[in-house]
Amino acid sequence: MATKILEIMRNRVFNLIFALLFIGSLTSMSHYDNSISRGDCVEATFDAMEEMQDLGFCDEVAGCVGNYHYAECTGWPVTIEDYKSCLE
Amino acid sequence: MKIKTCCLFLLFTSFICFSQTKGRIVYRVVSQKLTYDKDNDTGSRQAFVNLMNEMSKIRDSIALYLDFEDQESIFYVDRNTNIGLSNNTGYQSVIKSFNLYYRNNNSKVLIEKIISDNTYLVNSKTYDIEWDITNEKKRIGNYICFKATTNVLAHKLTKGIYKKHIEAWFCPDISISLGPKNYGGLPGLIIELKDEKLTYYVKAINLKPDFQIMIDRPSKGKLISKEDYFALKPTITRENFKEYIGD
Repeated sequence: MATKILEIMRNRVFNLIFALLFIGSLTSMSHYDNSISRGDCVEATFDAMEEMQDLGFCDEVAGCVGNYHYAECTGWPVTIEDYKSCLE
Repeated sequence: MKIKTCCLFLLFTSFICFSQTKGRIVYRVVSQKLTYDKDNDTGSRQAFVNLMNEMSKIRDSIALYLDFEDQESIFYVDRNTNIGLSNNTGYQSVIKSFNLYYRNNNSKVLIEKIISDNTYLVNSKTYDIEWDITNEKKRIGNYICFKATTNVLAHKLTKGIYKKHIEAWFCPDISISLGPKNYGGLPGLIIELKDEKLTYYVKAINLKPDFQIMIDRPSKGKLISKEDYFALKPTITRENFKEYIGD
């Protein structure tokens, strides 16, 4: 009986350890993905600001749109009205 | 008889030259359309492109005036007449993106009036623009034009100070050494000029205006050289990105 209880507990402990390890790996992967996407978002925002200035927009407008562009790219909820607020 | 013919011809030619000392050239712009990849680009890219192309429709509807008299000229957007899409979002930003340019061929002065946090009168000299005239020619409308290129000092948020490449097509048959913005000094009017993603083109030429040409040299603002003006402007790099844009 005691042996059986010990075995069950060991299995549960091992299961718990595996579960924790699995969750840990998921978290680190998502952090890895997040850091890559942030880098992509920096590049994409740079490109967007440069395109705006090629179209004649001033630093202030390009910077404002760049802010929203980066925010949207990194997952923040940004609406078209937010972008347009830079242009008024 | 031959001498008389020659004299008459010279008189006629000089009359033509003198008669082109006052007038108005109307320019318009074609904005390069931005694109995105539907399958691969992010939502933020798509939203950005759609918005910029919307702004381009406004920009491409605006008339820009190059008024000149004798040795002075001014290039500007007339806010009173450009009201076609004035109710559209972004109209003010597009209008403001066109600065006023003054040129004096006698004193060789160029002034670009920039209104941002302050009003700046960015001054330079006509001979700062050095053209490279090529043999390349093309017909633009009724005009046979030749290509000229130059590189000018410019500034971008993401680039800092850099040399910007400008391409101009000028028509020697129109003996007006002017063009859009402060690009001039070529042996003919600039009919078309490519500046990054914007192409300026002549929409109309009026050499006998029935209205008064008024050219006022800009005087209200901080007089500053191009180099000093660019030194005031920020440059965003990957290293200082967080200070300006986000984290």
